[in-house]
Amino acid sequence: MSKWLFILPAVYVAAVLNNVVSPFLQVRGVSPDFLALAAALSGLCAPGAAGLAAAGLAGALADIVAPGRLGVSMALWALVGLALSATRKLTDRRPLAQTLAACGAVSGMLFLASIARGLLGEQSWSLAAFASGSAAAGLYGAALALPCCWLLDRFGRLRKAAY
Amino acid sequence: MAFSRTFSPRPKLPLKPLACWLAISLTAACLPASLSRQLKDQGRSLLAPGQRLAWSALKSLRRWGLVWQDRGDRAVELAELRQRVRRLDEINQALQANIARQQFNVSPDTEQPLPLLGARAIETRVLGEQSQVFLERTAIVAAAEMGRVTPGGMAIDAGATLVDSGENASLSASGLALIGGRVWGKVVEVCPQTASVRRVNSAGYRGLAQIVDRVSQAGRPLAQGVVEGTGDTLCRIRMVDARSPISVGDLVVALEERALTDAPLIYGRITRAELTPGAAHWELWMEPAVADELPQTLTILQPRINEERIAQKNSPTHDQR
Repeated sequence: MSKWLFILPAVYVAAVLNNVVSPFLQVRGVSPDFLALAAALSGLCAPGAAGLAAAGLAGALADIVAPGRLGVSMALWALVGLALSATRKLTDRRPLAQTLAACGAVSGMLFLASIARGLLGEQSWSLAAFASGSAAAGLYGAALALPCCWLLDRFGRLRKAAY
Repeated sequence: MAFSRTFSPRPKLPLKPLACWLAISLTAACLPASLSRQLKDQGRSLLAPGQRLAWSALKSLRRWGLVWQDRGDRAVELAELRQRVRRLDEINQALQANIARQQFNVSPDTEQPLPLLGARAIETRVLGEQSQVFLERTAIVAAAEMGRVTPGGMAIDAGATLVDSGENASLSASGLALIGGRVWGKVVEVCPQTASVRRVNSAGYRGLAQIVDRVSQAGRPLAQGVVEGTGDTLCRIRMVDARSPISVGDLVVALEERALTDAPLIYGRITRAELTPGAAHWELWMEPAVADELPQTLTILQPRINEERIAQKNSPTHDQR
């Protein structure tokens, strides 16, 4: 578990990027969600409880930054992170598969959080807008995830070669 | 051996940590709003050092021309600056007129000064269709009928409502038209005897607004945005930051005339609040505070220099102090 502690500063940096840099990278009204991306990547990299904790922590920070009540993204993102972590054998060392999984995970996390907030009455219900927005944010996330997955793969290979 | 290569055991799910995490999340979701807000503030203060660092990095990048500014931010900034320039122009004109008449004798004053700007409320009658037809026959000309243009004629905005005061009552464009403390529209064009007022929900209407909390008595400001008429019953509010805690039922008040009146001027109430995932701004719809019917009278708010303050500055007692 302790070797995954680097995920904490990574999630913090993602939250800062989400608040500061994300509005500048807006394309046709869609801006990247670095926190969801960090949650997805940590779910893909870290096993079991570490993936769950990292994705949950990213969700907690998303709750803090976003309007609405706490705990919504915290719970849902942790579940998605755990699902990614449990199925990571399928995508291990395959950057393209990891990117696709990250795309789906980012879309899923944002969609589920929107649905939950709609059900809680924190925002108006619009399933089409939720779905299209989540899909667009997921695709944007995938574009950013591809170099990250490739770098993580290279880093893993180098580390293995060094041992 | 071959079996161990092909078969990998199903990874064990961390069910206990998951249950703990879900319990913590549920507790966080059930927290009262005040406590939740406090926790959010604490969390945001933890993020503040990192954000300051990122902003300073962005500023240096912007100085080298490596970062472009968000178009949405620019539009809001431009609208605010235009508004400020207009207001400053009006103040400058009034001050120049005063300077020409009188000479200032400035002395240090520890008393609370009177406000520099005040509002003049001008009561106007709304002209109905019959009256408009009558005016069109006599003085007002339509832009299409160029052959009938006569000197001193007035052009009217077909989509706007006509009121029976204009330059004669010192009306100026962009003054807010009110019914009580609620915004009905804005003066778009001033003619010698009449003025056109555009309704809040008419297409082409734009105004700066502030969204305030419906729960707190003091009207805690939540965000700023631009109210836009759609031509439909509901108005849209654009450029509201996605991080602002907006909810259905929050009040929308006018921001343009903030310095002129003590009480807030109400645009309406938010009836629909959508936050598309990944979007930088809220999708908000507002129901205007005023009814759909055409009113009999409208109060036009016009800024004016507070003469009492100018008189106080120049009074002999003030000079002696």
